[in-house]
Amino acid sequence: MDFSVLTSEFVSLTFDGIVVGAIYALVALGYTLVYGVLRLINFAHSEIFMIGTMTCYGVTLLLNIAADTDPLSPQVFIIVFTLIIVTAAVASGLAAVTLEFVAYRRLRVMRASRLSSLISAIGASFFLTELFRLLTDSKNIAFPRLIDKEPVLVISSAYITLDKILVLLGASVLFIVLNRLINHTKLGLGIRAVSQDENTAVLMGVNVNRVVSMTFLVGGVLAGAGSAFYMAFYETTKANVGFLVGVSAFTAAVLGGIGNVKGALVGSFALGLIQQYSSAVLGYNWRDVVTFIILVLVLLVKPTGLLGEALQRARV
Amino acid sequence: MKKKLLALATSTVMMVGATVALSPAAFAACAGNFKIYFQGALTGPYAETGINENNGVILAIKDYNKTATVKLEAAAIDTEASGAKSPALAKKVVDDECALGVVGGMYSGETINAVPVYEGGGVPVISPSATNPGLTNKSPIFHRVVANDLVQGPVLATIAKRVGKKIFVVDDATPYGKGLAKIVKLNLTKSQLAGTDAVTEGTTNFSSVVSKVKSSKATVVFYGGYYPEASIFIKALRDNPATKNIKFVAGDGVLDGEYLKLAGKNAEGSYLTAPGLPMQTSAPKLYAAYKKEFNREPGLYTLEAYNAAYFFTQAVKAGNTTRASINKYIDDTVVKGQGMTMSFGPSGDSETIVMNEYTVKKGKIVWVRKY
Repeated sequence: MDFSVLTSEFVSLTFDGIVVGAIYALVALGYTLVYGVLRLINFAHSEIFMIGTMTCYGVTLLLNIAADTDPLSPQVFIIVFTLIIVTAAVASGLAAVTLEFVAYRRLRVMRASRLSSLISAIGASFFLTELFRLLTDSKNIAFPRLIDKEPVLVISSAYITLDKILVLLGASVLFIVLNRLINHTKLGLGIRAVSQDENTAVLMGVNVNRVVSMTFLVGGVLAGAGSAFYMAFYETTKANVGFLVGVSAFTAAVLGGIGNVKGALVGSFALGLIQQYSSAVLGYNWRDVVTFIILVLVLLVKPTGLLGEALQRARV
Repeated sequence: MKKKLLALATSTVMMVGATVALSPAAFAACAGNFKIYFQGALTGPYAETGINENNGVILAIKDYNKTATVKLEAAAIDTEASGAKSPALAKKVVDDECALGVVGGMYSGETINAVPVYEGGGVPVISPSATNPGLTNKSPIFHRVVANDLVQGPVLATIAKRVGKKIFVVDDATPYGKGLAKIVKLNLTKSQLAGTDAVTEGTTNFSSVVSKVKSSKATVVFYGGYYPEASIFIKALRDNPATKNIKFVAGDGVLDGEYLKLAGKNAEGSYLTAPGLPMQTSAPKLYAAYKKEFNREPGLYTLEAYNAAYFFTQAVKAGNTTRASINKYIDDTVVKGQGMTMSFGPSGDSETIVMNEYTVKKGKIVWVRKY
């Protein structure tokens, strides 16, 4: 136990925790949205994220900057990163829609049990991980340095760098867009209707298949965007990267209250901070132990997660 | 009548089964060439080291076959350096009637788990690169041509103390990384040890570790682990203005061409050690032959893998074609290999002990000195 690190590096740990939390949130939203409409844990969602990271790398290969070690100039960076994030979001979005169509739709139409869909989800996850493991020789892939990582601002112990600002700004924009989409559009109304009561939604003329596809698309696009931020921040990926990020994001979604969009955000930031603080005090390898103890404790006290109650009231 | 026939058939099948199972010379029934297996990673994040070692084995067998009467075949099992996968693959080797011995395993964790399986089948093992001290003195079939971490650890501590006063020790919680870090820590005084942390294999998030290093005011970081994580760790250290110029010391798990590729210019100036000898200077002729054969540079431990396989070829050349007699030959004989003389003590450890310091200069691994 070493509390001195926590006091001397508090601001730095907190800032990094928020950045990591923002990336978790973009992935956690995909879990929570799908759970909202289908009551299904889409275990292959982590692989949608992984496909995003691979797409990011693919774009740098095509642009012939994959081996660059010096950051791009700001103007070039904006163009390149826009290209990367859009391509990754499209690729992940399409992958998510395809996944729904291949792995879940038939089971849903045939009214198979939820367990079948769950197994199908795990199968799809394995399939995609192993496929990319073969394609990449399961090697670690180094991503080029796109953005300068010299600190632009120093707040106490924290070095504020452009890549971290990028993650926070980008993620905030996406959260606002998502919020508008869910609360102020017809599609959002459809998503909310299906998650409250699928049968009534059908009676009211909601095209459930379309709503489900669109939900997967939205979740996939968010994960794809998240993967671009992840790559700019961590600069590395591999076939099982989805598992590493996915477990944390899924935990965050459950911690916040699965099915609840605000819960996913709260859970993600909470988890990011818990992970940073616990690895500083107890050591990195205790991180997951602490994380899951906290998760279990929260679920014991509030089985629906941190914001679960609001969700249930909304459904009644 | 039908019943009787069935009973007869069953008992015959059972008898045949029993004969096969009980026959002590089951592997003597090898139909084709005898095989020397390589155990290590041929795919996966750790494959660079494995491929470099396997090539050494292939070349040694090829050289031997040129003049041999009893031909050998080079075979391999791809463990991906995983201790979870190695026992099942080792069982395959044990069950292969033609398998005479194993060069491997490549890393300590996979070897620790596979050795009991080999021991069950009496398969002699010579590892070119598994350095965990706990491996030797346990099994009569295990040998290694390199010095273990009880030699490497103190040398690493010496280097760390030479380049700085306050040392932060990080390991990856694998048998190799944790074991090496422990020995390094034992060789540091309380005031020299600035702090410790342990990460998990496969992690990408080193920000909390960097914060701890920064807060400890250490000037040197020792990392016990392998190159995939080390390359991310060194990048994270170099990106933080407070730890930008910290000295980075690591063992043979990091010393690999792939480290340079993944870490890029951040690898520059790393202090690395390995019991392995540089092939280019220790065995220049073999180095040339290797480059001609595989059209690539040999890696760390290519020479050791070549020599381990060479030991097996000499055993077969001396007329040994059973696992037991080869194991006895390995225990008793001194073999002069390429650039090194090999013999094993009763524990299975090499009797010649060498430790080398390397560094990274202008994107290349450069040999510095011998200890």
